[in-house]
Amino acid sequence: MSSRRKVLLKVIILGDSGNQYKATIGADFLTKEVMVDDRLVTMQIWDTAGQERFQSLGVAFYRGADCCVLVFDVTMPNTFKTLDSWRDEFLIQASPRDPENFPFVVIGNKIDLDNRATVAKNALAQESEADNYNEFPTAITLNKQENTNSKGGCSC
Amino acid sequence: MRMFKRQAHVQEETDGETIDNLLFAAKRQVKMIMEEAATKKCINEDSSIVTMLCGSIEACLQYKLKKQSLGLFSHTSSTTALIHKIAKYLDVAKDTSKVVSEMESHTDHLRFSLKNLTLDGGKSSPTHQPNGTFKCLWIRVALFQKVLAKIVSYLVVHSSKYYESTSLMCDKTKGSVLAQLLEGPCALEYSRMKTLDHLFTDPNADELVLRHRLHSHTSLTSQSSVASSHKRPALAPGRSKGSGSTSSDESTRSVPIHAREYVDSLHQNHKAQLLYGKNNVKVLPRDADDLLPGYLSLHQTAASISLKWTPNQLINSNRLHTHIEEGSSNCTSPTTESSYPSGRLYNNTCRRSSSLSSSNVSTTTPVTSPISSPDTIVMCKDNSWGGGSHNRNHPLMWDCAINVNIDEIVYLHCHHQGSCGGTLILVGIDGVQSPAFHFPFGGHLLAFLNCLESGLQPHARLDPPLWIHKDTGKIFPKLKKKRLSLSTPKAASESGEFYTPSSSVEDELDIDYVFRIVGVYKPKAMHELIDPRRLSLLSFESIRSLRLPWSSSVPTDSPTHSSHASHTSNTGSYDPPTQSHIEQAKKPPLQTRDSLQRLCTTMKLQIVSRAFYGWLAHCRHLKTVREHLSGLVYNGEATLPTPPHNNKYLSTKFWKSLSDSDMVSRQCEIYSSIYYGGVSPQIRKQVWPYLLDHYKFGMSKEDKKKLDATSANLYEKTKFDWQSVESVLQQREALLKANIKAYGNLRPPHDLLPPTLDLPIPDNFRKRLIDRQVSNLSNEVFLDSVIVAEINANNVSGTVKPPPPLTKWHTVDSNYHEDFCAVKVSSRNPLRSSSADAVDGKLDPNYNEKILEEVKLNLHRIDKDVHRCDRNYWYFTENNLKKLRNVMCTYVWKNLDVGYIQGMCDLVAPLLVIFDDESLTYSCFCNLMKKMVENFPGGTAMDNHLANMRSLVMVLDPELYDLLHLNGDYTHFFFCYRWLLLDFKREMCYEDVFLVWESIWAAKHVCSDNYVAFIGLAMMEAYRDILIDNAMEMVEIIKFFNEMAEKHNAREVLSIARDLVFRLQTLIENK
Repeated sequence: MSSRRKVLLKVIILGDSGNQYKATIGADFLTKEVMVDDRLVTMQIWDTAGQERFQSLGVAFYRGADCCVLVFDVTMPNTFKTLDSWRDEFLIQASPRDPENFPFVVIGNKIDLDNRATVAKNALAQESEADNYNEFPTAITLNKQENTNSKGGCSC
Repeated sequence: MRMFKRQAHVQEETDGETIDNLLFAAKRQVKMIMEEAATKKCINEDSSIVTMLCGSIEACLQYKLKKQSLGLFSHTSSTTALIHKIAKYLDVAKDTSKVVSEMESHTDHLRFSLKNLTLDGGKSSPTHQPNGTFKCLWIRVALFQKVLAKIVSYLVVHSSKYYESTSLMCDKTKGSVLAQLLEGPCALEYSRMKTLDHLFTDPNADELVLRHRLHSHTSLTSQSSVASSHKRPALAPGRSKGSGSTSSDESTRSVPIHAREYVDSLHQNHKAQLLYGKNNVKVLPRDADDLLPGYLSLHQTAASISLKWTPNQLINSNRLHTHIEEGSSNCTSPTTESSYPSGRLYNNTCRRSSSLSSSNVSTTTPVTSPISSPDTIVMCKDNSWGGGSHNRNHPLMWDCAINVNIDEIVYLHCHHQGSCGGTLILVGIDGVQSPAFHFPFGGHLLAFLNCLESGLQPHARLDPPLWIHKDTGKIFPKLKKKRLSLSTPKAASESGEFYTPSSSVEDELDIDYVFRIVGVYKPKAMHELIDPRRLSLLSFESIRSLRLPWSSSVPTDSPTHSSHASHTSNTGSYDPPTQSHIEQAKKPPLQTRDSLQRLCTTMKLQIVSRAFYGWLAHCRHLKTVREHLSGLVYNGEATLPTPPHNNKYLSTKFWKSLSDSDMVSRQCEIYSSIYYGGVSPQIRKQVWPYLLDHYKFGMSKEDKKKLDATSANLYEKTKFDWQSVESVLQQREALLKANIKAYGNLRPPHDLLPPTLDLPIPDNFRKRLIDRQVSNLSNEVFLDSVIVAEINANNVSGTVKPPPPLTKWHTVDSNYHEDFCAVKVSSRNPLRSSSADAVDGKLDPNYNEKILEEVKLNLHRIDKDVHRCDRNYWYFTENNLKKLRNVMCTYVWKNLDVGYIQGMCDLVAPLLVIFDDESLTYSCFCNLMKKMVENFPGGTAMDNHLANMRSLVMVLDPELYDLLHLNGDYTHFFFCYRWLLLDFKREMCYEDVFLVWESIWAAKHVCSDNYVAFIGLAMMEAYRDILIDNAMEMVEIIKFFNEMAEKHNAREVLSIARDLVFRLQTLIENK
């Protein structure tokens, strides 16, 4: 089994997941094969427990991650504000080799909820200006509610 | 008559059910393949999905097929006969039929050539064997040709001709449904190309489990999987299961784990090359009167050559099981043929009659799941090489099988006797003889030697070598007359020229040969032909010369010796040795005797020291075990893995028969029966409160009623408390929203809530707040700080009149609302007044805000989790989810310092399902949480659990431990996290959760406070072979178990767990 594995890309997803599934306890992950420059890469998309209390488990699961996806809820500005804390927490736990340039992807979830999204977009715009997210490579993606985990992960 | 009618009726009903089941299975497979196709361009022909689909279609088509209508083809798979039959009428079927025939003849051809290559041209003619692999062949072909739907719809139209009236195909609606179903898969693209996906996607858990089942020939459900786990001896003194007879042969056998594996090993495979194979080689087994025919084979691995002989009966019986397994697996399970080497070679080794009978079995066996034949499987397993004390079909047959490593063989004795083809006896370096192999007539012995000789090269050779004859190839070396060799033994041994070519035509049949296997590393080969009866003497010689060929410490004195060991080549093989020979043998020279004595002393010393060190290591290990693991189980008598007498579970009858006082006295009995088999589902509601310490044994009915009333009362009060806080929160939310609406920005009024609002406060929370103020600890929850900051900001901004509230409880007037709350709450909650006083006096004014925020946050979390908790389970309707939320909120309100942690909902849910009563659930949940709360983050129990798991695996299954420990840290056990946190709630399906939980609670009173750890280990043990065979890493293990969630067999896991408890107990007692 191990011989077949080629390049591994480990992506961590942090933040609130929707109410699609059961609350994650411990950790779960999905795999997806993607072509990157003619190379087939097995991407593991890890989903860890949402609640901050379970962060102590992170050490084991974050280890060796190549990318971290931060997800927030566009209908709840607070979730965006806490992304910083999540990022710091991740950097502490995973202690990557080059924390300054570690790639993060920010994903705004639930954009399909129109009536509330306006508010969130305002907040988003404000925050983006205020914060210096440009220091490290970041993409801000907005995507729809369904399939946040898998589809969102592919964009990086 | 009436009876008969009723029976017929019943029959019809079950027919209907079977048809429904068959159709359902087919639908499911079609759905799967269509889903697969949606994500991929084309589907691999070898994909397991295709196999499964074909299997289910085969099952549908085979159901109630008129066998007699198929005529001559009946010896082949019946549906295959069907396709050949309808090929006459249907064009598309003709093509399919043609391709199938071609493929079958091709494989026949292959088989035949294989046979010629390996089996030395035996007598048995190639037989056409429909084996499992080909069973669905035509369906496959038709599917790939995209004509399957047409064929099936043709069959439906003409069903009356081929099917009985009650069959699926004759059912007009369902039959055509089946045909139409297949339109989809027939429109897909199939490819033989190995797609990238195929190469890179790891098999999922189901696939792994299935592969394992097929390969190991053992069902995961069988209890013996634990027994099989003792591949490497752990420290278990009482391993009675694996102990077998200690015969002299056993040292030369490697003990195979599964019979099936063993038979598989008889083939040419990637590990071992098959040098020679011959059936009907007869051996006289120990304790038997008749010669037993069997299959003799010679296998070469990188390291060595081994010779195996397996009784024909054994191979046939295995073939039989294989057939059953194949038949069923092809119909119900995804099996890729490549992963499943079918036993084609058996056709050559089995006699035709037996293989035909086995194929009959395979076709008449009802199609069921792969687990359907556990009996036979287990039988094979139990008998494998061990004692085989309780076997049914082949008593001691496994004991007869022979497996010899040629490395350990020194001499090969060949005897030719009369009409018999030749007899071969192997003599090992320890001097032990193998039973005689009687070869059939016709030069097979020579062929065998020929193969052996070529296999031995270049590391060793036969001595004397076989001769090469220019016409007939290899021949036996021609010997000088015995008279000659005896008269000049010395000259012969010195020159090595022992045999001289002789032109005289000797009768080969009457000559005996002794060949010696000589390693080419040996500097000086000894050319000896010896009498088998001198072996006891010569064994030491061979030890010296072979075992220690490099050591100079033991001087070999071969010239001296060889003069005494006679060089005979008897023509009559069993002539008694002459007197002088015996005397000479009895009196070895002094030198030899000394060296022998020295050798013996050294050996003795080594044996004793080894035994001592072994014992020492064992004692040390036991000490460690006792130190670290004795806390895991209770001392005293070991709890047997199986229930003692007849208390298999706690039955309704037994429970009802107990009076209040009985319950106290028979408490142990109750607990132990629950431990062994759980509680009967009807009485769970009554029994669980006892298990969860809500009721005490011996309480009278009145007591219980009173207790229930009190707890219900308390529950309602608490519930009211948090609900009033919730309504405050709701009102604020509504205000906020209204303001946003009115002003279009985020600036809410500052006087939403007066800071001195009276609220009920949970005691423990107050304490925490004080602590918090002291240590200023706020890094734990990010949301807290953000929200608090926001609220503070809100409070500063301007004033606005609040809009009308949403709930009917509250009016516009905030003063009224305040009063209302205060009155209501203080009248109901006796605790409140004191706490409120304390608040007003001693804590900072933000205090109420903090509670509110805490509650708000927790409520938000609870809502999110309750909403998605077990929505698939029938019980959780909107209304019952509300109950779940109430219980959860009440608990969190009471334990606001702990707060809500994800997973708690999962612990409440099963309780609520059983009790369907909020207050009882709440009370029991509180008791349950007394222990469980320590598992959640912040507690210490989880670390202990993981450490316990680790030591348990280390002691009870070292091999598995090695695997888990490869990367060297305990985080490898993190895949157990969810198991231990939720007591396996997420791992089992709902009904099993009840069972597992009650056994855990009962085990506390029976054997162990840490039964969870044993169940955890049992979960691993149940799949240990899969984990080990695939060398899974932590990541893969996590994936495997996540995929296996709710698919475990809880009863099996529990029985393994009980066995593990028993093993640890016996280990600690060291009895």
